[in-house]
Amino acid sequence: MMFPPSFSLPRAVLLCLTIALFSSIALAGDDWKPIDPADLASKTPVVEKDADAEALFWEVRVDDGEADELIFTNYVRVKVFTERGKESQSKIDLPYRGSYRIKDIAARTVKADGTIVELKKDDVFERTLLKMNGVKVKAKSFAMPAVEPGAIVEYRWREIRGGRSANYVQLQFQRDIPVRNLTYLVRPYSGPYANGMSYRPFHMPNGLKFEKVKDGFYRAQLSNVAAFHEEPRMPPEDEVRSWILLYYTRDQKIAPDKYWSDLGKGIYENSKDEMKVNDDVRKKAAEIVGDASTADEKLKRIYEFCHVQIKNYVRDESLTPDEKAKFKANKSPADTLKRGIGTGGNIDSLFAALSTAAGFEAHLAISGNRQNIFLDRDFTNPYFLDSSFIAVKVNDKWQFLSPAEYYTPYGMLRWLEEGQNALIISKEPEWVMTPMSSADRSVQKSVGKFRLLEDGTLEGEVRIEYTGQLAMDKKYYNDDDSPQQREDTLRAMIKERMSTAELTNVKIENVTDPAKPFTYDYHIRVSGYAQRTGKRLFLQPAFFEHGVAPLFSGSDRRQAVYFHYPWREEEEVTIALPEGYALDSPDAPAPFSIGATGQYKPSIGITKDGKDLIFKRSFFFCGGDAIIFPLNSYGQLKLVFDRINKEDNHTITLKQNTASASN
Amino acid sequence: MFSRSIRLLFIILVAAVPVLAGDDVPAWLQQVAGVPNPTYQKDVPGVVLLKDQHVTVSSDGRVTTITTYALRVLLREGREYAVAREAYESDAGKVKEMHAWLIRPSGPAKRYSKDAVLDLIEDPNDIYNESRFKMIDGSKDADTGATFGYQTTTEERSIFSQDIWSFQSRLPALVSRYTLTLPQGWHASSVTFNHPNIEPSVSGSTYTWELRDLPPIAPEPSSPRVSSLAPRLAVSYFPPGDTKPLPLQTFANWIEVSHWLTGLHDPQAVPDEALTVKARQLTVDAKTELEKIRAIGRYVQSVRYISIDIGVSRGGGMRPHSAAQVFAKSYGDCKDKANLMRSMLKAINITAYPVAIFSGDPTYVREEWASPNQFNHCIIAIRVNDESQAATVINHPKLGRLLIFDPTDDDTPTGDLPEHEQGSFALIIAGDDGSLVRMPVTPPEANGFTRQIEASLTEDGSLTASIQEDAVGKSAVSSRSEFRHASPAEYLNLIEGWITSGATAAKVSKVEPRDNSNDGRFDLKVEFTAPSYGQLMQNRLLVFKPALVSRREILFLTEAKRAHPIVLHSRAFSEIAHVKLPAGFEVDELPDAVKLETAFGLYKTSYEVKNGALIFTRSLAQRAMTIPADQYDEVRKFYERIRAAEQAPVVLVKK
Repeated sequence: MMFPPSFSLPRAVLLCLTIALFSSIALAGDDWKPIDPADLASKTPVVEKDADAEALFWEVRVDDGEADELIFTNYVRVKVFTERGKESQSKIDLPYRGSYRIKDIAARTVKADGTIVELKKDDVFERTLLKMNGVKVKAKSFAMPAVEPGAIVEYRWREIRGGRSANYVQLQFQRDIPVRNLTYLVRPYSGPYANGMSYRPFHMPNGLKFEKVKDGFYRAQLSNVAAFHEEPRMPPEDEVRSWILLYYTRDQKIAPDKYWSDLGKGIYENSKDEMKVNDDVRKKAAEIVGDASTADEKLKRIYEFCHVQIKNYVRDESLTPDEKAKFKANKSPADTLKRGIGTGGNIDSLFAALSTAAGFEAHLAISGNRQNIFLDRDFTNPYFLDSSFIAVKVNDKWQFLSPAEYYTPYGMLRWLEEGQNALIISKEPEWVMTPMSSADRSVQKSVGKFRLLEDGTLEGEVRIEYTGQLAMDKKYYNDDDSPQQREDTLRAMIKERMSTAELTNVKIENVTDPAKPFTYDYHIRVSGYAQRTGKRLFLQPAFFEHGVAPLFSGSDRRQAVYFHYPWREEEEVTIALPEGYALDSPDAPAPFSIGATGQYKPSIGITKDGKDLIFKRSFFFCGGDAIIFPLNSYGQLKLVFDRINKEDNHTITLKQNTASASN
Repeated sequence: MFSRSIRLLFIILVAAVPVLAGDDVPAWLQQVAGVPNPTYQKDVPGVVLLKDQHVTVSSDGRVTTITTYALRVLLREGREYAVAREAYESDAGKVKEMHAWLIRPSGPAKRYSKDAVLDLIEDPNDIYNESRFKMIDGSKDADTGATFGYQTTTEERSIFSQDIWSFQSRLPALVSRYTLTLPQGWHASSVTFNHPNIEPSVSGSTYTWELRDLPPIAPEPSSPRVSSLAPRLAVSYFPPGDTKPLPLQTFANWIEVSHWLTGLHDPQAVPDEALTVKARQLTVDAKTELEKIRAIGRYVQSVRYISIDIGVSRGGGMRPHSAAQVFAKSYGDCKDKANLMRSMLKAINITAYPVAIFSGDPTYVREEWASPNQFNHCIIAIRVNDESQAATVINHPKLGRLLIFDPTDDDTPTGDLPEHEQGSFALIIAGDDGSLVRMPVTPPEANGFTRQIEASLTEDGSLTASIQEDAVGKSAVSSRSEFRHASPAEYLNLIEGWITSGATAAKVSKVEPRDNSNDGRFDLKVEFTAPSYGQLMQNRLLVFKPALVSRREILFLTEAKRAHPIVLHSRAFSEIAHVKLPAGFEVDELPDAVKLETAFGLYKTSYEVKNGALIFTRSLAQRAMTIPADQYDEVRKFYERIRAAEQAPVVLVKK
């Protein structure tokens, strides 16, 4: 959305307006807006019933009228309802650094009985939080005086950002506390060479617009805005929070298709040399491809060459951090080939060049990042394009690859780039959706062979393999740790589920291998795994789920549920039963299907000789690329995972036969 | 409110630390870098090759400290220790020089440039604090096998003629040395904690204390704090008896410390009219002395904790703001709160004294070294009459009955004391009558909870249950803290998490918390239903666990070996559960009753079937004790057997 066209006022007029604005602020130094007695008397919040504090209003004026500074004038009035609200609203820190300044702080507390306690000048402390190499991070800090439940606290300050403009400033419309009236007043820059200011609302009510008011300001206002609450497994914050992005642009009226086409062409022209094929590249491509006969085989060989043979300088342990800081990117694929080391961009570019040399059509592709926000093509601005990889056409279909991502196996992207719109940068740019890897590409395969002792102790060998996205997550989590720390992490993970577990012969393999599955091997002994009564033993066959809590415990939810990627779990547990025990009224946990989204399939069997129990469990989820579950489906989703947890906790009973019992 | 922004700015700037290379590594560092690695357990992340501090006191009271330190990184996790860090008080001291170097196992050595020095505020959460530190962060560069070393020179003027030196942290140390050089004619004395006494070598007026080959101190659950395990030196120094040239505070005994602190506190404890009016207003309905103290205690607990420390090196960190000022602003730190409470009590003719204590380690403060520098916290002792009865009343030989109370801890009511302060030494600040006294320890029964459960099991295994918990003391404090500091939605989530961890898919229909901090109680009522709580097998057996919910306070002693003593706190709980059994089933098997009796605790379970209901009881009484490491097996088995007992199922069979 655009602000209405700006008028370039003569500088003299602008100066007068600025002076008038500053004068009004200066005069307002001791003036507070009148407080409605009803607000002072109120005892319950309006926006959220259990809120500890609620902003009666939150007003921010963003003044970009001057070319060399951006001024935020803030005025906040908060009603405190509870002791928790008193704690959270008592202390104000206003950090700033560099050419930023904080000025004109004023604050006061108005108690429920109307008593006013002003903040004294001496009670505002300027603190230098950090000094380094000529840079200082400072904060102006103060404690609101005499805050108590029932009181209203209000404070104002101006933040002056020297040398900055409002381009790409985020206006937060959802705060940590609910707000009755939240107002932003924005004055765009309208001086010489001014581009028009536009804004993009995210998760805002339909129809919300900046309306022109006076003095060149535009106002957007929201009423009764709920606080923002974080929850586990929620979509990225920018995807669910209410906010507006301000930006300046000349391209206010260009249709999205044309905008992206022009942008793509521009990037193509600027970047094509980075993927240039010369004789060295051509020769190397032929050498790598060798006798590969299929397109997939050829591409895989080129990928593996770039993935393994070309070092990403970030991962090169022979370089010191200082050398890495000074590392200069290569100028061409031939340079990268020659040096055998490069930046991530160099490696991807070399891959594109080698692929081109091998006869493929290969281009740079850019996309958003699902960790931050889901890319919307209708927003004609490159702000969210922060991922890149290579698109290669294979049998008329685009395949997306990034050998620069060290742990990403051939045929996949990291989860945050999968299932995203990607712009293929070529002479004729086009949008293509990157595919989401299926659950079968990201598998946790667990195998356990145990024996159960009469006292309930379970002992045996375990091997767990992770592939795809699961392996990538594991590798990124562990690769920077020492072998000892990796073992400690594993032990802690197991002990959280089974406190009596003792692990020995631990082997953790392929932690830094780019392609092989991440694996755990260990011997485990868990005393008291099965519960024993006088004549029975109670055993949970789903060893790998023992002690795992249900995924969702809360009945209420505020945000949608977001899984990063589809995955599969395959488990096989063999348990040698103790001598003299037999199954007592055995039954199996029940399988169930969740449509195309998932399936839970357990089975229990016994070997013919009756000595070994065999439990298998197969589960996948997020099938059909269903990774987001809207809030209204939370109840159903919780039921599914509760049911899985219940079936996983299925217990079988072993009964001591009479002959043994008499021994 | 803006703490996230502050953190972000820190991260941005710290991540951008510039470092310049160089190879002028000093001889001392080159020498210690050649020392071979000793053999330690494989999880020891680093070894301190040299920890040396040389303090020079000049006759005008200026203190110059040169710190020399070298660390070898043994594991990648040890990189985080490769940091040079030197604290100072901005009002009276400075870090004059700071140099750091890195010697890699291969490749060039590195000298950190001045640009790498960060100057940071000690506690960003304080509104104002003069305590700062400078640091050079070598953790990004120092990999396994690297030796990181630094040397700093600080200068300060302090009113204290005392110093504390810890010979090590958790890392092992090969050489750890503290040297004190005094002006001619001065003398020093020392006390050693957590280690046999270390005699200094004396040369002229220079004293040196040294330890070598100190083993690592591994972190273990329920262990004493590292401050009670690492060897620590406390030093006092004195000018010649016939001179008094400096504003230095020397302390020969605890009465002198009390006297000095009294001088800081007493002038600030003058009630003004507004404060007096409030004190009277708060106590107008109180009938007894204890009720008056409670009323004022509750008010002071509600005063916000906000710290503004100015003039720390001149004792400012120990002097409260005036009570009138704190009352007017309604915020302050621990000493401000203790002082406000003292003044309000004074306004209603109740005498109280500030109490200096160490918060966080009950065994930190030692009797044998009289020093205000052993304390980091301030609470209050209130003189009470014989009618005021509470578990935290002590008898002082000169001051009589004193009720000890911490008004900073807003979850622990009058009549109780935070666990980490119980049993520790604390100084009653009462001029010549002041003394170091042992804080009270409350018994298990004063810290427990009882739980009553009424439940009904159906033939398909579904459970309907109602839980009533009544907690006192520490148990009540834990529950109260959860309740007060979480929003209603968060609290509900917490309770749901607790219930569903034992009963999958349970639906909680009622949560009724009742906080009665006046008498130190916290009660909770929860009702829930859980489909398929019991597992029906072949429509014949119905199996369920009678321990329906977890105890929420579980001691995890899971490692096979133990290096340090086990610190147990005073706890008690008892539960009685009536579970109505489904009519079509009868009991086929009950778990055996359990009775575990040790010097540190007693645990019991029992099972009985009566009138178609199972009556299950369990109880634990755990004493506050520190148990030697060689008895670890016994302690671990005790808690393992409790865990096993609480997993035991009941088997019902169809009639």
